[in-house]
Amino acid sequence: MGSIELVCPAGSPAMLRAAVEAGADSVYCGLRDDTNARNFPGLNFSPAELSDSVKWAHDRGAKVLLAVNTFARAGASDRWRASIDAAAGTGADAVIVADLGVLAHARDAWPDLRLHLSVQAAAGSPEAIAFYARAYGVRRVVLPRVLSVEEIAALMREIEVETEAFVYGGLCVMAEGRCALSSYATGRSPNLDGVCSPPEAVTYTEEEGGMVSRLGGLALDRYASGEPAGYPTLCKGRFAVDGALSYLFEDPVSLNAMSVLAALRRAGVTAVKVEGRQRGKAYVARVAAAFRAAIDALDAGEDIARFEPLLADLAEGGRQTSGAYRKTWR
Amino acid sequence: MTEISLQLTVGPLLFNWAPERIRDFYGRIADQAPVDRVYIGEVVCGKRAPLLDHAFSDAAERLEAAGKQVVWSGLGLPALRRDRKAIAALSADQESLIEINDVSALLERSGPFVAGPLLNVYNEAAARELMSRGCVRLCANVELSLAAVSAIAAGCPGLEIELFAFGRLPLALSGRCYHARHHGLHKDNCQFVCDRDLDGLDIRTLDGRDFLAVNGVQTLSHGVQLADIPPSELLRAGVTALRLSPHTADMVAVARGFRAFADGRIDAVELAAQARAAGPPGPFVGGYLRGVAGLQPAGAQ
Amino acid sequence: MHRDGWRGRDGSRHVGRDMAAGALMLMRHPVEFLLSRALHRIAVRRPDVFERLGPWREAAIVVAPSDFPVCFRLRPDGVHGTVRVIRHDDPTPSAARVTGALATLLALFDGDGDADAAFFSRRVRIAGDTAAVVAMHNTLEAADLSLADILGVGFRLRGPVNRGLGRLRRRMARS
Repeated sequence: MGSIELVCPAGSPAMLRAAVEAGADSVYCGLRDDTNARNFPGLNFSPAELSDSVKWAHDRGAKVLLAVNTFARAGASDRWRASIDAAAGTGADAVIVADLGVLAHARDAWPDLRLHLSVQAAAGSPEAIAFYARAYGVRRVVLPRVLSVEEIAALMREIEVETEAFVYGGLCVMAEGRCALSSYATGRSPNLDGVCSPPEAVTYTEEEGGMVSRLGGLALDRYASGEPAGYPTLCKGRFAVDGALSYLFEDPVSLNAMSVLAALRRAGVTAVKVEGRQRGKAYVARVAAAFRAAIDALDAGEDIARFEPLLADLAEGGRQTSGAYRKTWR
Repeated sequence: MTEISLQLTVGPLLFNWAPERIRDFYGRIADQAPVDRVYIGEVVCGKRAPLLDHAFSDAAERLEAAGKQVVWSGLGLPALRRDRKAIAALSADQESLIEINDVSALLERSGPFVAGPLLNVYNEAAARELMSRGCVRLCANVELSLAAVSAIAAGCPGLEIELFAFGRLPLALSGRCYHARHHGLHKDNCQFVCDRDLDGLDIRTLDGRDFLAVNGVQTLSHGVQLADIPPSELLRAGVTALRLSPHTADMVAVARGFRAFADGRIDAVELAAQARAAGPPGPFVGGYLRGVAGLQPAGAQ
Repeated sequence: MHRDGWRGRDGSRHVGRDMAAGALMLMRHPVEFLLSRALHRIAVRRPDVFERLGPWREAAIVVAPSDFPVCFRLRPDGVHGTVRVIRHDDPTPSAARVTGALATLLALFDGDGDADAAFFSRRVRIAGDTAAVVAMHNTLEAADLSLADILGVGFRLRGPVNRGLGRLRRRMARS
C-alpha cells in the first residue's frame, strides 16, 4: 500500500477480484438486501460469497469493508444487526455504518470490529465527527462530497480519526443520508431502501421533442435524437424555475478528482474512495488501475497530469467535474 | 372518548422573511393561535441568522408572555465556522429545552432536547440512542410512515412524538445554494435572494408539472403536507403533537382548523376546506404517512 | 405495445421481412430446444447465478434485435427456464422488452461490456420493468457469463461468438 489507501467498489465477487487485481488496497461491498445503499436487483453478496471473498482478499493482502450503511427500518432492526454480525463472522476488516442504533449494536456486540462512518451519516463538521468517535469508537469517517479541499484540510486539523474522500464516480449534491427527493417522487430512498431514483420507476418515451426520461411519471430530461441519454437521477434532472430550464441542482456529470489527488494527499487524507458498485468489472479495473498508478507516481515524486484524461470516457453522460473539491462549486 | 388530545406546535420558520413580517407573524400566533409550543430560530442557512436574530428574540418574548412554550431550534447543516459556533452556543445552554437538527449539536449536549425532523432518525434503536443522551421528544423525519412512527413509539416508552402535519416538506439540504445558482450567483455572494420567495421558489418539471421548491440551500416539496388522519389513529400510533410549518398562508386559521380537527369537532374534509381557504402555496399531499411516495395526494381534498 | 418491425439489411422494410420471420418461426423448435437446454446446463453448473436473480428469475424478458427477423423471450427460471423464439409483434406479455442492434444487445448482456455506455448512447431501449433488465444484467455481469454462454457457446469461444452468430444468422436467413 502507498501513502494513500485506494478503496474500490465491489458489486459482486467477480468485481471484487477485478478491483484487487487492478491494484485496490481495500474493497467495499454490501449484502444482497436493503441494509446497504446500493440495493439494486442482482447486485451484492450472499453471506457465503462474502466469506469466500474475504478469504480471497486477505490471501492477497487486501482488505474488505462491508457497507451496512442504510438506516434500519422501524420494527425491523434485526436485519441490520444480522448484517453486522455477518461482517464480524466472516472476518471483514471493517463495517461502514450510518445509523445510530446499528453503530450501538456494532460497538456493544463486536467491540473489536473496526467501525467506519458512512457518508450517509452526513458528518461534515469536527463536532459531528468527534461525537461519533467518542460515542461509538468510529475509527474513520467517509467525508461528504460537498467539502472543498481547503475545508477538508481544515477539518483534519481538528479531528483525530482517519478520513476517506471520494475521488471518482457518481456525485451526490445533497447532504447524504438526509435526502428525501427520491422518496417524495417514488416512495423509495437511499436512506431506507438503499436506492435513489430506483429503476422500477424509470421510463423512457419517444415524444415529439425527443426522448423523455421520467422518474415516477415526472419528466426529468429530454434528449434530441442522437444525443446520449442519461439515467434519470432526480437531482441531475432539468427543471423549470421562473420559466427558465436548467440543470438546477447539478449537471449530469460525475466526479473525477484526479486533478486534486495530490492536494488531498498533502492534506493527509487516509484513503481515497471510488464510487460505483453497480458499474461492473471493466469499470473498476480501469479506475483502480488509473488511481493505483497515480498514487504510485505521486509517491515516486512524479507529476500526475498524464493520468487526468485517462478516465474521461467512463463518466456519466460523458462529462465530469472535480465536484466541490474546488470551491467554485458552491 | 379519549382524555388526552393532540397538542399543536408551530415549527421553525424555514424562509428568509423580513424582520417586520416575522414580528407580525409571531405576534398573531401569540395572540390568536390555539397552539401550545412554538419553535424559533434559523434552521436553514447560517448567513440569515445575523439579519433575523433580533426579530426572533423579540418574537420569543412575545410568545412567552402569551403563555406559549418557546423552544430554540438549531441549524440543520452547519457550513461555516460561525454556524458551528452558533450550534455550540445553543447546545451549551443545558438548562433550556432546545431542538437539535444536526448531529454536531450532540457533542456537548447533556441537557434535554428535541430531535428535529431534519435529523436522520428512522427507527426506535436510533431514537433510544438519542434518549440516552437527553432526547425527550422526536419530530418524526418526514419520510416515516405512520406505521414506522408507531413502531418507534412502541420501542421508546415516554418519548413524545411530533408529526409534521402542515407545510411544504423539507426534503434535502445541500452545501450549494440553489437560489443563488438560479440567479447566477454563488453562496458566498448570494445577496440574500432567497428573501424574494416567502414560501420558496417553485420548481416545475420540463413538461410543466409542479414538483419542488427552492429555499436557499434547502429543497422543499411543492405540495403541502396535510396530515388529515383521524386523531384517534394518530394517538394510537403514539403521536402527541402536530407540527404546523409557517407559510404566508393564514397560519392562525390553519391552527384553528387543526385544533377543531384534533378535538373531533370537524372531520378531515372540513379540515382540508379550512386549510385550503387559508391560502397554502400548493395542493395537499399525504403519501409519506401512508407509506407511499410523498407526493401522493392527501386523503380528503 | 411495440411494433419495432425488422428492417432488412439495406435498412428498409420490404415484403420479404414477414416471409423471413415466417420461415424462422417454422424452424423455431430445434432452436428453442437448444437454447433452453443450454440455460438448464448453466442452472445445474452455476446455481449461484439463479440464486442471485432472486425473484426476477421468473421474469420474462424479450430480447428484440432490430436487425434480426425474430425475437427471443427468455425466462431464466433455472432448470425450469425457457427460451422462446417469437415474432416481433408477439402480444404475449413480458416483464420487459429490450430493443437494439443484435451486437449491442449482446454487449448489454455481456459480462465484459459496460451496460451504462450502451444505454446512455441510446443504442438500446428498455420498455417495461427496468428492474428485471437490471437484475439480468447485474447477474450476468457478476457471473462472468454472457448471452453467448447461454446460447451454448463455451467460454473459450467467446471471442469468435460474434462471427459464429453472424454465420448462424446468415444460415437462418438463407433457409
